[in-house]
Amino acid sequence: MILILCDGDINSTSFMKYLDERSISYTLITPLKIINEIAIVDNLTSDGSVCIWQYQDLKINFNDVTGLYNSLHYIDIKYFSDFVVEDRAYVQNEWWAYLVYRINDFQNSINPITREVMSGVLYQYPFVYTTAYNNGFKIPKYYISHSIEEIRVLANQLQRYITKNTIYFDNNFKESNSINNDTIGLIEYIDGNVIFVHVVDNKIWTTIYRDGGTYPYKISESQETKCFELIQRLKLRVAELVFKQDANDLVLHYISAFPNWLKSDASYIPHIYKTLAAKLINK
Amino acid sequence: MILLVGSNKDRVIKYLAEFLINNQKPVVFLNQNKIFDSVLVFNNFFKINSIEYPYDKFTGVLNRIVNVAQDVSCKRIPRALSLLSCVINTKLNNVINRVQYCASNDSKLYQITTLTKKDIRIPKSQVLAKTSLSKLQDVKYIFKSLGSIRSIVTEHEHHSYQNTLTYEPVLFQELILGENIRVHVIKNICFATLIKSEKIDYRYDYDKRVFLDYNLPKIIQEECILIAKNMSLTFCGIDLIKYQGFYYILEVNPSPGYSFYEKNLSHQDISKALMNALSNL
Repeated sequence: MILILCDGDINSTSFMKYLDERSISYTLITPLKIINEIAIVDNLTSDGSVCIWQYQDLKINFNDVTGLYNSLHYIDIKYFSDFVVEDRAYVQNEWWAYLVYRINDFQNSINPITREVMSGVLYQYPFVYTTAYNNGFKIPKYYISHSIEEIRVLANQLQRYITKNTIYFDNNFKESNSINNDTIGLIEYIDGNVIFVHVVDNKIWTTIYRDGGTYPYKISESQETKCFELIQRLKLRVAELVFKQDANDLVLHYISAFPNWLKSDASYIPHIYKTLAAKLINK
Repeated sequence: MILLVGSNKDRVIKYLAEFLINNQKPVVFLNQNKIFDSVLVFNNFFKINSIEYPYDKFTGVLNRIVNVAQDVSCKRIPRALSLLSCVINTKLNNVINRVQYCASNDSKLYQITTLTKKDIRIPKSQVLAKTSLSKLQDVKYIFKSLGSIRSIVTEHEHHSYQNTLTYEPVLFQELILGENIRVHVIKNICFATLIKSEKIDYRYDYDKRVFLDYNLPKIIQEECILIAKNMSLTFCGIDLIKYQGFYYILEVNPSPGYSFYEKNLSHQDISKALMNALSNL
């Protein structure tokens, strides 16, 4: 049995469509179902865990689950409106604490909730750039500061830059031409094509965005090896790495533990889904 | 120079700061509640009360930043705190502890399942949601929160709602009426404290609890050090219970309130070890 945990995101929906078209069965679990409908009995001893989720007539014994595809990285507070206001954050926290345990205790979760996802640092470009740099990747120059005066001086030094109002990367590569009072981050703007690298365990697909279209692309073996090493270091099984291609090298801009498969060249997508399905069917 | 980061209401910071000052160690306190007021974060230095402190001048950082609610009236404060936390995490050396290494404490069951367990056992645990509590196996249980929000550990049969359904997941753990031991691990050193109390949750036994140094067997010390190392924690507090000769682990606290224990002991060895770790000795 394949379990899919998602909140209706476009990627999971697209993957489920692929499974439907090939009559590969799966059970979809949404946050709403978990919170409102699923009865849980989850036992843990030194010998391991036995977990049963009962949902309507369906009994999910995790020993029978072959793979778990997870695209949840938090549970929205909107699902707890039935609880009194002062309890909502606590209940949200308890549900997430349980799901982190359940997803991570299962041996074939794609992806597990890693400590970098739990703590949120994986969404922060300073952390991503520090980690990538330590792994041998070229990264853009970047600065963070509360001081608008310092930001202005650093922007002048960079000349071409992307401004950020948070420390979280939002996948925006657009060059900025002004700084405002909310700017706390600057990332060097690099000319060149955007390259998306999608990784599933030991498989990799690379797509280049060029002249308004997407094309299959091949990065060097050493770059591929570094991609694998980086996602292993982050204990991820699937990931999306976004690069800018400058004159000489690839410059890493972003890593996501929740890949947008649809950013891949269309010819790759069935191969990615086939790989994912095979991994989820075989425990 | 040692940097202490957190709230001015944090008793651990206050206690350690006094110890460092008494030992003539240069120390700077960065009050997270003064961000945008007397604390500013620059690309390569902090400015605290108009004095610049370059990031490379700190030998060690005790990181005890407390998350603030997202709905504070000034939206810049959580953003500023996340920037501060990010700087500490990526630009400073010898941080005790980095934020991602503390994350496992947000899910107690996840945390104890990831530990390397050799001679330390984990208590039998059960999570129930929307299920009758009659599903509990035939042993005595305590119940507590699964996440990082503190709850008072309570014996199940003493709770007035024992026959109801639980709508959110609740963690029930086998009641082990043994000796409570708190182990503080700093790098390769263990400090064990035995807490004698008549209550299940000794934190709330204000009148009768007693704290004593405890001689932890070497094999258990080594396992505690290994647990901290595997979690990349330079400093942590491990809660154990000894029962019938076996040691059970309850949780690992990556931001331990060690002063609560040390204040009740006749020495300041934990502070001394922490000072050395923060001095990069």
